[in-house]
Amino acid sequence: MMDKKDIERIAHLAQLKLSEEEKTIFTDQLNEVFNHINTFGELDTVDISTQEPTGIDKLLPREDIPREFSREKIMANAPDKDEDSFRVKKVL
Amino acid sequence: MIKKILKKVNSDGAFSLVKQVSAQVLESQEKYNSYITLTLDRASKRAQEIDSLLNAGKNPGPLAGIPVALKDNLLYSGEKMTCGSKILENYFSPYTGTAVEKLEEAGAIVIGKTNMDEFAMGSSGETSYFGPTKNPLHPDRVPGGSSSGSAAAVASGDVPIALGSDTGGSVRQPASFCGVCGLRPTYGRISRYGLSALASSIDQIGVLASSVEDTALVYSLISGHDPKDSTSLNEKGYELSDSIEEGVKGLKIGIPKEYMGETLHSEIRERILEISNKLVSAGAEVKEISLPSLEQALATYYIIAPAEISSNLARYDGVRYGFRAPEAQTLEEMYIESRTQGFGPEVKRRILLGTSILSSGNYESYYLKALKVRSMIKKEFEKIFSSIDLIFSPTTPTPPFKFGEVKDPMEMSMADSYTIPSSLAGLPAMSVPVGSIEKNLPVGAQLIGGTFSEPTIFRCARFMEKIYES
Repeated sequence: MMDKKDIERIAHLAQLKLSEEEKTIFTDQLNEVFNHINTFGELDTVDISTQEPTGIDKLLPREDIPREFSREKIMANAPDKDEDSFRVKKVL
Repeated sequence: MIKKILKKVNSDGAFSLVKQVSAQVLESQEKYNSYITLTLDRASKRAQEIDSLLNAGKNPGPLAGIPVALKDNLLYSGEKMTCGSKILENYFSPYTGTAVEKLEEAGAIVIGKTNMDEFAMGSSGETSYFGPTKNPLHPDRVPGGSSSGSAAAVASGDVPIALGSDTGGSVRQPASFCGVCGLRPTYGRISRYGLSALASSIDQIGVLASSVEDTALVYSLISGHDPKDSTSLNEKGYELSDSIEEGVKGLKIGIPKEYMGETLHSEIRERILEISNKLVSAGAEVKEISLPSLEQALATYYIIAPAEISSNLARYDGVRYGFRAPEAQTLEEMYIESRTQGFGPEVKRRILLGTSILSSGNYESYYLKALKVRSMIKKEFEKIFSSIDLIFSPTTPTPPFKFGEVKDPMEMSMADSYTIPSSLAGLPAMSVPVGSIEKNLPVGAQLIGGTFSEPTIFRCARFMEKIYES
């Protein structure tokens, strides 16, 4: 069972801030999901691969050729910039 | 529908058509909130270009002048792509994705970007930051999701085709709720280049359309290998053929008993059985089959999808694009505040779930195990398709519900319970409208086939469509 401390740890890892109310709601909701996904806990998967090969053989690696991108278009979406650099808050 | 519109374009011109469509789109936007961004001025210019080509005796392509709508998680150069989220409210597409590029090359005209559940997380259209879309057939009910606006745009007759994306059922489920066709192709057949990532190993671009014929035509134009997508299959795309009209004689079709259980709405069950009888009368062999992995499939999906979501959405940090919290004083505060203020509750829930699943202690017992169960599910489908051609089931266990009616996230996920298993296995599947039940609510039938079985799916879908065509 997940408790308030767990949800605070997870929220920190996910870089999210939760209100006290949200902590309660998300703890309950995540516990409900974990109860559900525990249904396959007993399945025997020892000899099963994590990657069923279906379709993979049809994939083709491409040559690594760099493509030109418009720097201007990319920088146009920057929340804050200084010419060709993204400006952020002081790190230290 | 496309054939009819092409005739109109040839007689009256694309510009005149776009003018008419624009008026309709503005009206339906008022009524249903199907769009986040309209591109009507650009559409008019495109229409003039198409008309010039037509007047010069040139062929602008098989979709010359056909209006189309794009789910707002697809890049269309120069236009906004919000993914239905505040965090991307002011993000402009730096380029156009492959599927959209192919549509434009075929002569289609983009009229707008459609509303959607935030980051494609939802089954009702209600989680969009830009407000919910209404179901054009029943405005007090949800259109389904997450491709809510794309389904509504087709259902209201604004466009004959729209692109959506389907992870757990986000094309098929809204198609079913809005009474239109919705195709999710074999994984890797439509390039994902230019599609915003949700759960990359499951996401596929899909087609919503007003008929099976139109679905097949558009699919033939946008499928095929693309070197820009490393998961794009090295295969030719789907080729259009007359087999779509061949009927169902000789097809072996299985109905999974697990999809016909007690949670299924009784009138939908009756409809499926009614169609089953018609399939048999037309020469198909229909039998009951078993897909015991249904419950495990849902559990598997609720591990793999959030795990991929939490990784994919880690990129939204307020540094290079998207919303940045203005009041943040330090770098870490900027990350946390931008994400906290930019994402809605459903997105946060899935990020938290995925982060928890991938955190130490849970990774092996949940994530690795889920990947193995996914392999088992794929094998189970493979075995089934060694003896039958198609699986036939309802697309959803219930008809469209009312706004606010389903609040619990797990209950909401039941709306995708019939579409999730084939998504995990990477198989093609389609929802086709099969009339309506009580209160005139639409019903969708789902056809699932083996890898590359789209031609057989279209053939059977066309047969079903004809039964209920009014």
